[in-house]
Amino acid sequence: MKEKILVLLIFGLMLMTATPVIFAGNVDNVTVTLSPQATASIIVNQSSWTPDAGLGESESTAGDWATLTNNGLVQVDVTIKANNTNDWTLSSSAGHNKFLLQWLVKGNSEKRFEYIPGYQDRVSSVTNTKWFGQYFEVGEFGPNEVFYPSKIKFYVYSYGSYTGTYYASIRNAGASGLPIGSDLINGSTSVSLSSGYHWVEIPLTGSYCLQPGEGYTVTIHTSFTGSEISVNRNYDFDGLYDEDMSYSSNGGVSWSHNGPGFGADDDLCYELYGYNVSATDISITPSSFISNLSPVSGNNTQNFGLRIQMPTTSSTTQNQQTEITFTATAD
Amino acid sequence: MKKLIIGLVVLAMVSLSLPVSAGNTDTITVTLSPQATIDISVSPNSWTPTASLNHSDNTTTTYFTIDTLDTDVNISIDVKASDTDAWTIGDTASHNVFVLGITPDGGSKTNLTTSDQTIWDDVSPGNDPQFGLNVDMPTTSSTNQNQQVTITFTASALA
Repeated sequence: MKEKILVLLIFGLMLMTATPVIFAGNVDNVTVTLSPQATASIIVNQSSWTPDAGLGESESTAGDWATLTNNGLVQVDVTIKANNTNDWTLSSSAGHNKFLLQWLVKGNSEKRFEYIPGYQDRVSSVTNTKWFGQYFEVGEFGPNEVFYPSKIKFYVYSYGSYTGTYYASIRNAGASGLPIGSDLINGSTSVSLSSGYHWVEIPLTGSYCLQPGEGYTVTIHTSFTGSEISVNRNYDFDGLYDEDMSYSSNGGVSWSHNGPGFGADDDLCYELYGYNVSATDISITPSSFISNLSPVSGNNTQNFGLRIQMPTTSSTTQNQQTEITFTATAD
Repeated sequence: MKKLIIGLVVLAMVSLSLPVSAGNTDTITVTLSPQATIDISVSPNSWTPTASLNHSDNTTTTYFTIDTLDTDVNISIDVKASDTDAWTIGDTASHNVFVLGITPDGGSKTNLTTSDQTIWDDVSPGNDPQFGLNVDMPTTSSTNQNQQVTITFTASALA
């Protein structure tokens, strides 16, 4: 009997020393609903474009010709569409009364496009007045794609240790493959070279779009006035007696295929690098242009260019207008 | 008389020298447990600010009441808030970051975080706290969808 009482007493003491019970109901919530109530808002900094291209020709703007900016507070998706003109229709390829319109976005990976391999065969001095050029067609040796050139390398020989400025450009090519007109894009760099053969890399500034299958020329000149630096030729690399190397003795004003130290079938050693281009057809139905364009300053813009392929033939000689519409939708 | 004094002295000496008998005292510890009830309810239990992006909104500091209901013990109340699906709670509004503050009536504002913070440290039974909320909306957002935040109030008995 005493033992039972003792057990009950201990058990009772244990109950009395247990943690106080906290009943359910000690937690409650408040729900707060936040509504952004934002309006999608974009702006394009170009309002018109008038290409020079005639029937059967194509033309592109620079890759950063236009900038679309999300100037609202919310992330947006953007679609793009264009309309037919009075007499021509938008199409996936050019034809009679059919034109192609594309938006272009510069890619991120730089690669080599056209080139003539380096070869140790000096031609003649390249100076501030003695310029050299080389005709090329996009797709001749490299990819036959629209691209934005970024730099040109020239293979040169230095007769000593010299520091000077090297200039490069791309120009349109005339019917004979000679440079014509002003620079489409150019650049320069200051380099110190020791005696011997070197590749000189000249970055191009700005943005210009080269067209597949089209012919252009690269040119090089330097700040030197004497015989410090020579360009190099790769004898008939393309296997053609095609007069595609050129020379100017008057600072790029006039050009000829006759120059010091090279023949009609020689080729100027160079490499042309650039960025690929994402080209997307614009149609009369909206298609996705940009997804998730941030409203945050610094990430709220998208550069783009335009490319047009004019109709091959036309029923009219009247100017035609198409309107490109960008529409933003908040995510 | 002399005999009486001697007798008392002897008696006293005898009693001092007697051994203490084991088991003649014992104790019982009685632990009293409040076994308290804690029960709180916040009303209203929702708020929809009118502020849009890059704006702020707030209630009065008596807009919300924590009803202590059957609570019969002094309590502290911790408060925390959640992130939303697309936004995170912070101390300064920015892209996809909002600020949610709580202000006890008569008290000072505390920006809520996803961790518990003690907003009331001693609430006696029947003393229902009141408070207000304020929000700084994100400056910009990756989404235009409504976002929901859950504010959690947890009451604990004082130790």
